[in-house]
Amino acid sequence: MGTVLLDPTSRADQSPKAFATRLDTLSGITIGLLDINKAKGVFFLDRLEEILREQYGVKEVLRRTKLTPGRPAAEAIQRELQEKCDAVIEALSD
Amino acid sequence: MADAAAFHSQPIDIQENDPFESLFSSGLTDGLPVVPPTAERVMALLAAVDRDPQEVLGTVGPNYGPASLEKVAINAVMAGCQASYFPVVVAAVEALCEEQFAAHAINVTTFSATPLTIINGPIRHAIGINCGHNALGHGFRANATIGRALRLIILNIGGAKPQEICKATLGHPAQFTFCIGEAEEESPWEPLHVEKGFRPEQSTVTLFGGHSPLQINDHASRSAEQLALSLGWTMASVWNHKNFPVFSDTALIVGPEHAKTFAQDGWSKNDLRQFLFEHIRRPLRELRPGVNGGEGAGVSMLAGVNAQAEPPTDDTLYPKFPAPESILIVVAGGTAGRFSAAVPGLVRGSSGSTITTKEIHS
Repeated sequence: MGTVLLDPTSRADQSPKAFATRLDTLSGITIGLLDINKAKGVFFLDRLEEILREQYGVKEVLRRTKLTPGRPAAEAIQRELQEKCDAVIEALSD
Repeated sequence: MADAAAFHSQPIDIQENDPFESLFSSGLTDGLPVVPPTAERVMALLAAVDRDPQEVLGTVGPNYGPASLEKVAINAVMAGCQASYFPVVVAAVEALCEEQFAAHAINVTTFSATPLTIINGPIRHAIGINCGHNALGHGFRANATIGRALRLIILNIGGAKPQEICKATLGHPAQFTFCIGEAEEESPWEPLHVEKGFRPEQSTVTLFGGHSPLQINDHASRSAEQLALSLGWTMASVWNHKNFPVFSDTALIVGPEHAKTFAQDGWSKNDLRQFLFEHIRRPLRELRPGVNGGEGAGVSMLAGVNAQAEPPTDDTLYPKFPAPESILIVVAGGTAGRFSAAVPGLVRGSSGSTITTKEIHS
């Protein structure tokens, strides 16, 4: 019999998660842009929004900003992005 | 003989494989060999605290894995901790799990932060924490393994795997282990835990979200003022020489000989903090982006938003340290050699990490 050791890992939720359905097109959809609130991130996201609207025909862009970069987004923001958006891009810059 | 079935953790059956190699290949180590966490070893650590092994101390960022005493003990065994160190590890994990400490930010940032663990009180002597020569260095099991236990807990419970969610650009050697004891007996000042409101006979652990230490040499200053200017202007380089004010708290580990110089002139810790805040300042002309480097005063600073009502001029002085209380002072190291060390912190305050102290119950 071999040695039995104890597993040191711990995860909040160990149930398997499926990937969300992939999008065929960005045209006509709603995209969420989550700004993690680092310096100058807003300039980057402004340009990204422009590209998404003009080049890819994205219908709506929902912009939200985390309170601080170092902590998770408020649950209300997470919920809203989940409910209203077809896809979300979390973006940072420095 | 302790039975693995008595635990909630899944057993890892390694059959005939070498347990050291199995633990490496499972991605459960910090890159160095670990002590195999057998049921007997884990049980011995859990016996050092009179608590339910399934009690959850909190969740560890970035992945917010629940830190049950059992999981903490498994990782502490792997780090090489003796049972007598376990109450210190437990208190350190309680601090690590505090929202204000921001383990999430510390463990994912490109900045390469890591918890600096500072131990105060009688437990230092009871378990052999080194506070003297080589205080920040190698050679002492209690310091080495308590600091390392936190790293393994961050990896295995917090999920901070390097190059995955842990994105430190450079990292640094203190990320393996970074645990010191305050040399209270060599300090002219009240120890850190008393400053934080604890009694001298209590033992505590304080976590500071920090970077690698910067050793500062000064064998020539003989007055408190000379020495403070010497330390302060060397500390002025942390983060970047243009970052005035720096975005973080800064830990100043004062060597005993340096501490004596301050004491001889009657300086308290607060005197030193206040002096550094007031004197380590540079004019805006030296801080403008492009002057000796692209870093420098931000847009809001140049517009005078944060500093004062009127837009600043070239002569406006900016402090290196955002507030006197942003400097954490602790005495450690050997009694020969006029050295101190500065440890830059992660961003301070509500958007970053706050220094956190917990009592050790043993």
